[in-house]
Amino acid sequence: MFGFLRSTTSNTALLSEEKVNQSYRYWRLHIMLGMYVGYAGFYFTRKTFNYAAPAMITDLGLDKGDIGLIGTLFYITYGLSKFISGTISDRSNPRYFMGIGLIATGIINIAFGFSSSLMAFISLWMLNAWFQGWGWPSCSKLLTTWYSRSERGFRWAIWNTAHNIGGALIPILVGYLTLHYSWRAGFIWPGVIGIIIGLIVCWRLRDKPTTMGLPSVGKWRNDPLELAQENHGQGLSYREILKTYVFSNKYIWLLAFSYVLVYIVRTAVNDWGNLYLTEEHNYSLINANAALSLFEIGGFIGSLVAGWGSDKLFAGNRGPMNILFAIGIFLSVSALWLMPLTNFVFQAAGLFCIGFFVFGPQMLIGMAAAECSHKDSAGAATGFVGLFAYMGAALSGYPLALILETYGWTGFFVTISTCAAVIGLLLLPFLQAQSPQKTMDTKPRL
Amino acid sequence: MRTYLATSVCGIFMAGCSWFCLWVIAYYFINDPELAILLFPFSLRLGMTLHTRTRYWPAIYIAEWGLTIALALLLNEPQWLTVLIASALSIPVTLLAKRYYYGDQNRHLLVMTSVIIIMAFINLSAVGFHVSSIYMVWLVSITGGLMLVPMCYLVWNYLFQNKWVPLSSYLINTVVEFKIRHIALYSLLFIASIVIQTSLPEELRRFAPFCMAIPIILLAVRYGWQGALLATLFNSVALIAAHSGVSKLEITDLLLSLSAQTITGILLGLAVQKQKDLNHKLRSELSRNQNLSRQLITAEESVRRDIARELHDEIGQNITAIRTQASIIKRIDSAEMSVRCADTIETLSLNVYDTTKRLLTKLRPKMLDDLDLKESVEQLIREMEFSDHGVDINLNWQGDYMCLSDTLKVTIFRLCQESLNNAYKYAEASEIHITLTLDNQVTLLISDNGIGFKAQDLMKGMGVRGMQERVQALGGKMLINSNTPLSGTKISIALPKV
Repeated sequence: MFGFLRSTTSNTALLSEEKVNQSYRYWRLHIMLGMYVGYAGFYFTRKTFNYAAPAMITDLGLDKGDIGLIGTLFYITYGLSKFISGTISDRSNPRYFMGIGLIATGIINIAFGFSSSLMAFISLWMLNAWFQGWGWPSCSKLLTTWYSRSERGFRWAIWNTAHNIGGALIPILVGYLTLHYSWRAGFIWPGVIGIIIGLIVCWRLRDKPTTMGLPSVGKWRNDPLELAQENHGQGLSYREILKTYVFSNKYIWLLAFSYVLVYIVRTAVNDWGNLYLTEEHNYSLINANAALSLFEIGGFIGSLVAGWGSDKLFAGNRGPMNILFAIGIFLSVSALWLMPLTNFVFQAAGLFCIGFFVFGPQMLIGMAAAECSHKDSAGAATGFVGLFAYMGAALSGYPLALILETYGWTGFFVTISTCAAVIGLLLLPFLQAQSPQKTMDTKPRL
Repeated sequence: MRTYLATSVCGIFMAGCSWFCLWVIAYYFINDPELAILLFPFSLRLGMTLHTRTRYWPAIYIAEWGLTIALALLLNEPQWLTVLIASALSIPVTLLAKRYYYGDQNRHLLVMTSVIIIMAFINLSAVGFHVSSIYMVWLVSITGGLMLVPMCYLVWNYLFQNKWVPLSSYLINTVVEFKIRHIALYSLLFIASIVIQTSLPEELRRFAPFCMAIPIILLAVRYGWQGALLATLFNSVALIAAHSGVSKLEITDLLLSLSAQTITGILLGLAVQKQKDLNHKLRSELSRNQNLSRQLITAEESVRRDIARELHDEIGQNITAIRTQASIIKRIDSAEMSVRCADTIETLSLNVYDTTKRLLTKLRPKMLDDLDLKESVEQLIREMEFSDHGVDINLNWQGDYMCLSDTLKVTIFRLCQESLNNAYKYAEASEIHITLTLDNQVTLLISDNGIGFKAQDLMKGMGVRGMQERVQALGGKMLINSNTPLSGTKISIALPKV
């Protein structure tokens, strides 16, 4: 019944070289467009609740605790779903996996718009989180099979900016709909948009190049690194691949732990930022939110710079760029904390810098996880680190609120600066493993 | 071109964001927005320009100028624009410094120090006339430079000079080098130093600066000057965290202690590293010496064994035969028989003579005593019959080689013998040049136009290794280049003149 979901094995029909080039070029562009629009679509159905929450509080009399509970449950379910669907998606066709996930989130959002009880909200929103997790692993699978190592950094970065575009458009849309109609419209219309985009995704995406009769991307681009990875560990069963390359891969664990910390910083700034600005610097809510939108813009640019830099400066190595950005996270968090003046431009610039530096590792760690595991477990590896990321996101909710209550904003910033410093520390052994073994000088030294 | 532009735009954002963050941090702790520019952001720019290619400088300077102008306009302090003059003046200085910026780390550090000092004076002259205290300008520039420029060097040296093995699934076979004990120790050290700096009671206040030396010494001993620099960074964070006052005196105090501990750290680290390097060298020399003496004994023993064998097999046998023949002559009266025996004795004694001669040549080239060094080599060439094989040998000897010590003469002779032997056997050369130059050291150059060899084949044969050992035993140096850039082999040997 679900046969169409499964990834078919390779199609052996051989195509002429020109035909191969042509269809590779065509599909690489169109798959990128499909993924971009599709992932931004996931953001439309993911963030609706966050922005409609104030209106729901006044309309339905929900309290902040309920909102916090729904948020935390969402993060946990989302992280779990990312991982579980990651392991499933490695063997399924991303075209339908991503499309159906998006359509499902659209339907759930519409249903959410028509419900009124807290129980319905909680269960629907957890279900939504479940289907939300279907987007990322599919995209990481497509990105690792359609783009080769030496160009992937920048392509992944371009795709990664869909996070920021989706994240920047949705507050405007939901804000407009809630203001002019009701919060229910703020769920229904993004849901409808989600369904439409889901249909487009089903229509425009494709499975791996090999299932379309094309050679693998390593062979097509003749990228030696990519070929090495494609040929590594062939002939293992999926269970063995998962065990060797994901669960007992120490480097995946290191990446996962640093990802926890990256997400603590990201979510802390994103979720607590406007409170900090209004409390400490007496911003109005509108100004605070406007300053926070600079965080997304910084993230947009930061992921592009990180991807481009790791491709060009370090020839497809993510480690060194990650360290540079980790240093940057520490500096920018300290800068926002120690900022001695209150001025919209300065706080906004500080948030821009944090966004710039946080979104580098946010993207590069996911990519590194896909690259240091097996080609066939890219989705599971990214899903696995994604699970840890959202545990970090959950940590920056209630636990950080406790720190904030006890130690104030100083405690808050000390915590996230420490997290930022530890990111770099955790990434160092990862980098060390990549440093070449001490080789003999080629010049005869006599 | 497109790649260059994209990389430059990335560079502008990277440089701009870190510049701004450092400015904010600097502003926080010296409480003067203009001096803050000179403290960290300028040093960061200096560190970055020193370590990037000149074609990416526009990106860095655009970021700096853009931000400076924006800050001056935002804070409504147009006189700040003079800072731009200092920034522009740094371009020729850094350009000049980059020309000397190569070689080992001591040289790098020296160039960094001079650039930091020159830049401090440039900053002073550019902004000195409208600030309250010109000493502050100088101190701020020096402190910032000392803290950030060597850090930039470390980052550059570690991230950009290493060739990283690309990330792949093969990584799972490498062991994670995560020494939890070290990290725990250093974190503890860091926390302890923050605690000491912040919460020492007033009576023990004066003790606090001394405590900063502990992590510096520990890390310097473990990792050399890089470690010491890292420790000074930890200390700086602790110091900045501890600083409370905003009065001018306190800020000066802080800056002075930051620079003092950075200088102490780097110098101490360098000294420790120098000692470590010397120690290491000494150890390797010692083990080489042991090796050499072992070889000496082996060589001596093997020569003795050879001689003993020859003496026993050849000379001993022959002399016994001569004695037998002589006793025959004594007992027999027949003249005919005596003549035959005398003939045998003659042949046998000739044999003895030949063997003795061969032994003597093996022990020491006889011709060196009869002829001078050059003539001996020429004699050697004649004996090896190069001209019969169409090999042209060119001797170019300059200087007074007559006054060389006997050891040197023998060594040079043996080196020529061995390399000619190699050229004869393997190189298929048609031309060989031997050049000897004598000044305050002896330089021997032997080059041929043959087929050369591969580096990995070099140490396989005993010949080259023997040459190497001879040269090393006399404290000389030997370099072999093959097929670079011309075809053939080139051996250059330098020997101290004793």
